[in-house]
This record gives sequence, structure tokens and C-alpha cells, in this order.
Amino acid sequence: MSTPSEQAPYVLEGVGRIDASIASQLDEQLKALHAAGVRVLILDLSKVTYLSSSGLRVLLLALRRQEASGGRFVLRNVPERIMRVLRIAGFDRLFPIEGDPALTSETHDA
Amino acid sequence: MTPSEVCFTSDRANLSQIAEFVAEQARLAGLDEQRVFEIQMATDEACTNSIEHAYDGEPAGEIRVCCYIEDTDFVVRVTDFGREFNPDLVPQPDVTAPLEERSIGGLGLFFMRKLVDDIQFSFDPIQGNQVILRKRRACP
Repeated sequence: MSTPSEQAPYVLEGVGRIDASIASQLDEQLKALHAAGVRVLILDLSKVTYLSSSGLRVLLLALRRQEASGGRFVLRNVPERIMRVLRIAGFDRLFPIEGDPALTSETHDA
Repeated sequence: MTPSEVCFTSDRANLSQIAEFVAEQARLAGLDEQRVFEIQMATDEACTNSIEHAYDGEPAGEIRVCCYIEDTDFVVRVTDFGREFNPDLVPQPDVTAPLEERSIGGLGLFFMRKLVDDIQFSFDPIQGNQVILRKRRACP
């Protein structure tokens, strides 16, 4: 993690599976960025192959945290498979989502 | 396809291996990639549930994952020997609620129910918690 600037949007890149094994680590990272004063936090999901309810919970907490302090939490480059998970949970209506899903239809990662 | 069972410890780090095992078995059973993904995710949520609730996050518990075919279904049975899990006590999340009213619990169970064709829970002091997830092998 590079030193976050309060002004510029901070882009965090997710990789691989975001399941219960990694959720608390991601939560700590997102909390730390919020604590460091990052206002616009962007999570790039283009290299994410799986997102479970444990991961969704972390995203929801981050969204609340950022918005509560007047900031933003944005999901970027969401692969179609991950988008389906977001839709099932109704998260597609809660989160700002940017990037062309067609560009990131499928990613293969370890 | 003969039933195939693997035992794992309730370590969150095993979740990816469990996912791989179930995906492999589901492909052998002839499920398309969409269904493979769905049964895999439902199983991941069931195992996460065992880890977080039945074993309270303790990594030394036992989780058994058994895959088999029954008639038109590919079946995954997840067994743990932790604390009793009663799905009826888990509140249903409202997936249409606005952000401020969203609860962060109950999503795992919601996904399990949503992603399979049938799901059954049982608990027995000897047999443990069992979740039986069924997925049709082909479109009806």
C-alpha cells in the first residue's frame, strides 16, 4: 500500500478470491485508508475471481464508512461473474460502479 | 460417479481448496459452468457458516464435504461437529433495503438458498450439523 493522499482518489486493486479467509484483511486495509483520510476510495475488482458474502459485508461496511464522512466508495471494473453476485444481494443499487463490464467479462487468476 | 468425500479442518485458508474440490466434482457430474459456479459458491457459504458459527472461527474443527449424484441432482453434503446451527433463527436480509437499513448478517444463508435447487439442514448431537445442497445437473 503506497502512502495515501487525502485529495486524490485512492485505487486499491483486489486480486483472486475475496472469501472469508481474506475478508478481515481487506476490512483492515479499507479501514486504514479511511483513517488516513482518503475521501474517494476505489476498489478495482478486475482481477477478482470470486466474492462471497464475507466479502460483501466488508464492502458494505466500507461504503457506510466512506459515506458517513462525506467521502465515496466506488467499485471499478467489475467482472460479470462478480456483478451477478452483487445483483443477487441487491448491492448493484447501493454502490457506485464504474468501468465497462464488457472489458472485464472474465478474468482468470490464481 | 462414486461419492467422493474429503475432510478439511475449519481453517478459513481451506475454503479455496474446498471450492476447487466441489468444482471438479460438479464438472465430472456434467454441470455447466454457470451451475458449477453456483454450487461452488453455495458450498463456500455453507463451509464459511460452519467455520464462523459452528466452530466460532476456531481452525481445528472438522468439516466433511461429500459430493455425489442422486437421480437428476448433483448433491453436496457439508458436515461439521460444532455448535448446533439453526437456520430458522437467522433473520432474512432485505436485499432491496437502502444502505442505512441494510443489515450485514444473513447474507450467506440467503446466497445458499438462492443458488441451489434444494437445501436441507439437520442437526444431531452425534452426526453434527449437516447441510445438503442439491443442484439439478441440467436445465429442466
